[in-house]
Amino acid sequence: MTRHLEAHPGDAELVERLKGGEEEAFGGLLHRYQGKVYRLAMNLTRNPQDAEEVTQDVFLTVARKIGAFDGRAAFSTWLYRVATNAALMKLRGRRPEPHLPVEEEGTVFAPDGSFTRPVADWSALPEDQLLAAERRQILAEAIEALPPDYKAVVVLRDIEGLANQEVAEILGATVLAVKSRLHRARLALRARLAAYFEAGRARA
Amino acid sequence: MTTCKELVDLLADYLEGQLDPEVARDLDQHLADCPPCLNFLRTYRATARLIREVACEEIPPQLGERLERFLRERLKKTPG
Repeated sequence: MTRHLEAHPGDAELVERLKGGEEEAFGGLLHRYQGKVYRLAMNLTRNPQDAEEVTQDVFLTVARKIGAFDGRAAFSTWLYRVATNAALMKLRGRRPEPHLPVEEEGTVFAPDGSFTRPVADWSALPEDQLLAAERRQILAEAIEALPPDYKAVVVLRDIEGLANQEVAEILGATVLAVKSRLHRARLALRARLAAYFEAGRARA
Repeated sequence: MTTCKELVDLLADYLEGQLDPEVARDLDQHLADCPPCLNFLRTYRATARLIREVACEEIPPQLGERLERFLRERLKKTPG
């Protein structure tokens, strides 16, 4: 069978060629996805060395285990699953793990379901560069402190912008679980930011 | 009647327009009469936006070269 060489072959075609032993196809997938895999790993681990090791492991897996990819999901979904699992392994290997509590969510309600404390609106943020940098730092640390399962959902949904269904496939979880983790994580992060802004307001 | 707690529980689906229209209308109504919930909604939405802001977008300049070298060596040693 002669293969027709396209300028921009799709993932499925590159995967088929790789399964057929074509080295160039591996290069094609590597160039297409190395940046995405690295960024995903970096957002999950927040450590350049870990991110690079994860990227190496992911592409070793692609080269050696492409036969295990059955094509039921998109290649990118499979790749993200391999990458997320590798990054989560790095995270779980870290000790100690200081975790932001996602169970209490930092929001307290009275028995009648109303707020027990005033809720300030800090959404219209001053675009002061110093404040913005401080805010980013606070939030990055809070994301870092999320339990790994929650952090993975935040990174895949809110940073990578993937749909609930795809995140569920990547994590091997139900859509319901993905939505619940995302909501709890956002509530915990919102509570952290609220504490920061309210402390700032008290100082001012 | 919707409570503030119920509104907070449904916020993600509400913002994505994934709620039953009747439930969404109840929340609209609650929000119109409840400044704390409106503030909560605004700050919840801002949190999701700020999360995107902390994403690492940088890729080390020689990542591709190092990666290719690493993979070439490893795959040569133990190909399968």
